[in-house]
Amino acid sequence: MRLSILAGGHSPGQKALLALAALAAGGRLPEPIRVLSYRRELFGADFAACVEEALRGSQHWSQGEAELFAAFVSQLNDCKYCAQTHAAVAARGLGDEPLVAAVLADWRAAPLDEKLRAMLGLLEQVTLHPGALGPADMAPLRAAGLGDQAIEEALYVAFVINVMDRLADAFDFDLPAAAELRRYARLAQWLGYGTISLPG
Amino acid sequence: MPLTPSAPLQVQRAAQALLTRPGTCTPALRQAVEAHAAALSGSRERAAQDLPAELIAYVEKVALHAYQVTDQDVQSLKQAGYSEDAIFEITLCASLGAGLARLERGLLALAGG
Repeated sequence: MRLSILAGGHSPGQKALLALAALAAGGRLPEPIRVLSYRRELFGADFAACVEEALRGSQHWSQGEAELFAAFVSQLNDCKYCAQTHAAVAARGLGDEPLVAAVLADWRAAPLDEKLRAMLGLLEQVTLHPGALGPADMAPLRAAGLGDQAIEEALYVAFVINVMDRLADAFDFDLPAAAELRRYARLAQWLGYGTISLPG
Repeated sequence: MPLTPSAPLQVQRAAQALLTRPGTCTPALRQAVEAHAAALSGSRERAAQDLPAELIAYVEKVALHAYQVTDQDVQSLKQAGYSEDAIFEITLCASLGAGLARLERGLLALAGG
């Protein structure tokens, strides 16, 4: 973590909750919780609600699919922390670790249904070339049978993850070890993201 | 809770809080950083801003390739007089701008624009 305020600048009440959360996470606190809890009235409290809605509130996409989008976007942004953590949650949610690995290795060659494939194509464009987006980019999604709501919901995932990837890299989150990654994935799957900004 | 239509409202709440609440940096600077990052990320609604010279490289790096940010980048801002709280806010605003521009362009394309 590049800023010491994010390691130890929280309020006394938050420090107690952060210590409890660290225990629940198996020893080390997931770093997004540190960042989104610090001065949370400025951003973290509202943004945590966005993350929960985007990754857990979709009507069209399953939690595993939303997590796959998050891992995919993070990989495109070269954000190792978020790519690894969301890939782990996606693998649990989908119950298909090889599929997640295949998507991250080469999504065009991965064994996906047409809806997911079309959605990943748009997310790639949104993440890498947002300024070139136009109505024509929607044609493959329409052809795959995706409606407005499904597309909007995936765009919200792209929004929250494009923000979070930048925070993870700019603040320099430490990569979790393999055992930590499994614990974080379990916690994220059980608890969701509404609690990643702790009051105090 | 269904994502739509509540998500846009929640996104607006997050942006409103970050860009207008009392902070270490002025709201004007926070809004300029967010707008600059959004403009670099394809926004049609926001234009590039005249940021303080010492901030430009950092904001552009966070917006365009945050994985390249180094300890030295943050150290340079501290040496230029920015506190950790100011750097925290500037980083949040640059990241938000990059995310919001993508949402804006995606929704615009979906609506046929």
